[in-house]
Amino acid sequence: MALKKKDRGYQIAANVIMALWTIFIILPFVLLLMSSLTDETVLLNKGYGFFPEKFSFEAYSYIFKSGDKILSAYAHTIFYTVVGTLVNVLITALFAYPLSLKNLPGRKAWNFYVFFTMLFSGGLIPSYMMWTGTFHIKDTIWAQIIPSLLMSAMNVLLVRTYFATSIPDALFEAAQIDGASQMRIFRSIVIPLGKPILVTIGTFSGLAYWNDWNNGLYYITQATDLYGIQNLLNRMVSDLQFLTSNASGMSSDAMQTLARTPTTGVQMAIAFVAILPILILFPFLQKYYSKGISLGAVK
Amino acid sequence: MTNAAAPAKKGSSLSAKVKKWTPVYLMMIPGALYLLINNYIPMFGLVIAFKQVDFQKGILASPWIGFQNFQFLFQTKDAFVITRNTLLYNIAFIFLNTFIGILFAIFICDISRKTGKKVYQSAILFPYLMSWVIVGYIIYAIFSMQYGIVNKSILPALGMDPLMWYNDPKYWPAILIITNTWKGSGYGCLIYISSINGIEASYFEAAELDGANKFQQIWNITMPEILPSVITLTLLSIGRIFYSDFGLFYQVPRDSGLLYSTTNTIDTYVYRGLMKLGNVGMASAAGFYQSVVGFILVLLSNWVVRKISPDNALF
Amino acid sequence: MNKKRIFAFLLAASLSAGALVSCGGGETSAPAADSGSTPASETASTGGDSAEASDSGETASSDGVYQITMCYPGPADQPDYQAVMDAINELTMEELNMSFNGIQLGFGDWTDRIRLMLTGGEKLDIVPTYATQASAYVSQGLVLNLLDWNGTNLLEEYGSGIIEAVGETQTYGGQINGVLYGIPSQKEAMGTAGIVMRKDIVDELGLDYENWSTYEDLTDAFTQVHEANPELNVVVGCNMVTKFYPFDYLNDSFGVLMMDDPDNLTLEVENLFETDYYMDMAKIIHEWYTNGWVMLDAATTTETSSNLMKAGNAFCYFSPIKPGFLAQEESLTARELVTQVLYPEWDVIGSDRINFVNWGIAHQSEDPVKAMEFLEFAFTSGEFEDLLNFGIEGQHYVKMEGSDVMVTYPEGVDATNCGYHLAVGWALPNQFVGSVWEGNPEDVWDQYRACNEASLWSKAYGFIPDTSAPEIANIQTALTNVYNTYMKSIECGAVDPETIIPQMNQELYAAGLQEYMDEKQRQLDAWAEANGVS
Repeated sequence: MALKKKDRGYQIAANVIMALWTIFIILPFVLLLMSSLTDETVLLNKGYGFFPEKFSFEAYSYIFKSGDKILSAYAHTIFYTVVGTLVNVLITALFAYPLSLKNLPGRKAWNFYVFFTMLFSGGLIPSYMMWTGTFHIKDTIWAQIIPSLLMSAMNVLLVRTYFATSIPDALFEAAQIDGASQMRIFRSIVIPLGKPILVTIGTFSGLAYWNDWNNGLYYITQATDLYGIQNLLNRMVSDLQFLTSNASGMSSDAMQTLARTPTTGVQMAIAFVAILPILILFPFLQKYYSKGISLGAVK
Repeated sequence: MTNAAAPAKKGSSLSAKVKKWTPVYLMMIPGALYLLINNYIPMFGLVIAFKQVDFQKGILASPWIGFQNFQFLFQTKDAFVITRNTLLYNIAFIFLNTFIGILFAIFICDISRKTGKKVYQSAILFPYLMSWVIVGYIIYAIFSMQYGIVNKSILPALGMDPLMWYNDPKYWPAILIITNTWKGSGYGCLIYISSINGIEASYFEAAELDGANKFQQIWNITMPEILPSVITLTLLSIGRIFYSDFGLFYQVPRDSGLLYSTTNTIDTYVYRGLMKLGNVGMASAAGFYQSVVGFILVLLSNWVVRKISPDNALF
Repeated sequence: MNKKRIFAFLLAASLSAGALVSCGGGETSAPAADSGSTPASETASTGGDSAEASDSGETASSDGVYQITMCYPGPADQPDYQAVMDAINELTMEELNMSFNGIQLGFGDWTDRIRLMLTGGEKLDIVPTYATQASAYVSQGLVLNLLDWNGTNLLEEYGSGIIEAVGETQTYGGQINGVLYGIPSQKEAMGTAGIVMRKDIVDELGLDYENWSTYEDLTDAFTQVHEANPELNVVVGCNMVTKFYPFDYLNDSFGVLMMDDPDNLTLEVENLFETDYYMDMAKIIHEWYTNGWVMLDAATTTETSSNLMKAGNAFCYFSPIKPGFLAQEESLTARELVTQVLYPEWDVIGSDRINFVNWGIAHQSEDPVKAMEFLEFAFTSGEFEDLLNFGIEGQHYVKMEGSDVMVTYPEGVDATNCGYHLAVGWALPNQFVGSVWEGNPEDVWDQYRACNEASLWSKAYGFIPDTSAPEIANIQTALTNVYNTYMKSIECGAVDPETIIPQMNQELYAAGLQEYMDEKQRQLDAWAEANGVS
């Protein structure tokens, strides 16, 4: 949209508000980073702060002590994220497109079929029984990709809504008159025109894979080298929490075990390490978002 | 799409229909199959809510006990508190996330400086990267009573006494709502950005030529175009109105007992009462109850939506 | 032509979904190998040495050798895990003609994971049951009754060595409703606890701590410490009210047996929160808190007391004390410390102190007899214990000179580079048959045993209430919520006990405390009669 003079005021206001919000969002990250760089003794004595009295890289050296493990976990997480996201976006789009067709026979029922899964769930136990008992995905790479994350009902409905409202019916009509098949329409109209929403749900799916640790927790017990980065992080954190919260009932041997597990600074550092690749990657993803679409391009 | 293949001859309509829709149905197979396996098959587990499970006998052969597993959700005065908290927080979240999401989406789409646009767009999604555990740490770093930034630096600088954040429930509605908005508003915002990006630029150009100002453009073009997305998102949120984000309500207040009156929700109540004890029947009952209420509310709101604007109804 | 395209596309799409979904649908034994090969090729670029671990040991099951699958908790990151598993496998093949498949789980999630594995019904034989889960495991039939498996007394017929190894009292102690769900991990159970203080401050102020024995005795000293070091947290840690306790919890805090009069032990269930003991202790702690001696964030911090001590912002904390404690704690905190046992007469043992982690047999075990034989082996073999706990001799630990039992790191190996070192003897079956790590007294196991025996045992030892009946479970949930609401703030003194405790009691009764205690009493009476206790 072209910038008009009279819009100057609006532009300034919008920029100021967004800039403030951005600072509001970034500050906690800075705090996190600083805490992870603060000397443990200072952290416990002086508390948290933006300007640590004494820097320490101990937390990071602790983490990278098991360096190849971290790198391998990164690699795994990246693999799960890429594969999972691609499949996710593809089957979501394939599913959502028919649902967006207003005269699809059984459309309401299908929508309901999708929506119902968002409300009711049998819970973890039956899912676990099925995935491990029937599909045997335990301790395999599939465990990190398939359960729960491969498609989200929410995304299907959002994409459906988008297709239904943002793609002009006239285009479909023109295509059908040309004798294009549904598949062709899907490929050459729906996908390109649906790009904004597909990139969006791709982002959500990607983040969901990146942040996921449940699948690893439930379905990976022995093949721990299939752990993603979040699993490593989470295991360290949850070990600590369990031991702390149960410390009163334990022997002092248990306390020893506890003392060997990483503490606050390390946890913050791990958190930072877990999101670092995304922070680096984000700007590159940007270009896919901001592209508006001009209808002329597609035909 | 108003249909195209408008069949000329009624006679062959069935076979024409089959021919026309088969490819479309085929496209749906992977997704439908995934939902069937991942979501529908495990739903047999819902029976656990009505059983006293004995795994040596198997789930299906375990004795039925009616609604006994549900009792714990209603029997004490906690029932009121957790239901109220869950509902009120969710209502606040729905309103705030929708409002902020739309507002920021419009700003981001309108901002003309490319760099600004990119920075803001990344920023709103950043908090999404954080687990609640880490958010809990950050909040603790800010509000910790002895070592937090607020008590250690900010309040003394203002000449005020330190406040007992983790001992006093009155601060927490605000803290939790702000935290949730901080972390969650990016989601809706991104959806709205994509909806706005999907609006034909020519609409705005035409409006501009007609001399419509910014506000008029937003009101008359942007809002109607993103309304379906808003409705979809809102209906979906209503369906989960009896659920609460466990991490937000458990990790962020650090399970401080003194704060329960404003931080205890159905999910945290169930977790505290059951997870350590491992009663699967009661846990399952709680989930079932949350789902049923959400389901009824969605049916109602969907019905209302259908009355007003049938195209935007969920189903 | 269009159709062809559609199908090609669909094929690709459904392959990606369908193939994933149906992968590994074949026979049970196949998945490790089968799915191992597929992803290996895919992950080649992402560092895919992933497949190896998953087929550990699965090979053995073919030739009639039974494979034991055992879960146990341990700290993450054991690079030489596979080597140790192989060594254990060799040992069990030789001793029992069984192969071994060990599944190490993290502390934070082992209860969740084991519950899932038990409910999921996958291959599993030996499982640890954590105290709070026991009642649910038993009522849901997740673990076998060691005394009666389809009429067979597994323990006595196939695992009698256990009785000899841990003694009758402990062997039969983990029963709920007549179901023996597991044998307790061997550890020190006595309830001795005390105060741990910084030696430099104690010396500087000339505190005569040797004469202290109660909280009242500490008040003067704390005043001095606070005056001399106003910035310092005098005392850190939470759970101060019940850190020292003269009662048997009877599995939870709702209805306990008071044991403050050793000559008059009762079987009468009481409400802990109405006792003078509880109120008196709470008042003292609250006074400390109001004096500014207690760390403000005590209730919410996740830092351990020893960590705070190490960082230098604590004068003291309370901790269980056992033989060899001081030396360990000093190395942990890198400070000189002194300790003094408080309330020495409150060294009590109830069922919950013994039954912390109990080892039992999963309901899905394919051969409970073999599993029982293995369990006996686990409780009696020092070699097994050492392998599991400290790794391979010579590689991960060595015997210390001049001792048969003391062990330490080999030359050039320490905590930071040791390839395998669990050191969680307290959570493994029987550390008492294993070696002793450097820094402990050589006869530490005997000392533990002696201390355990010298403690005051509850009359109700051996009784664990069954709270799984739906009405009772409902009440328990409600009580737990009330308890959680107040517990931490009372325990660290943040609230005034004289107003809060009555309020908590009122809510507990409203939530059904009386009914709950009555049920406990009823079960206890029945148990006492059946076991001839009075």
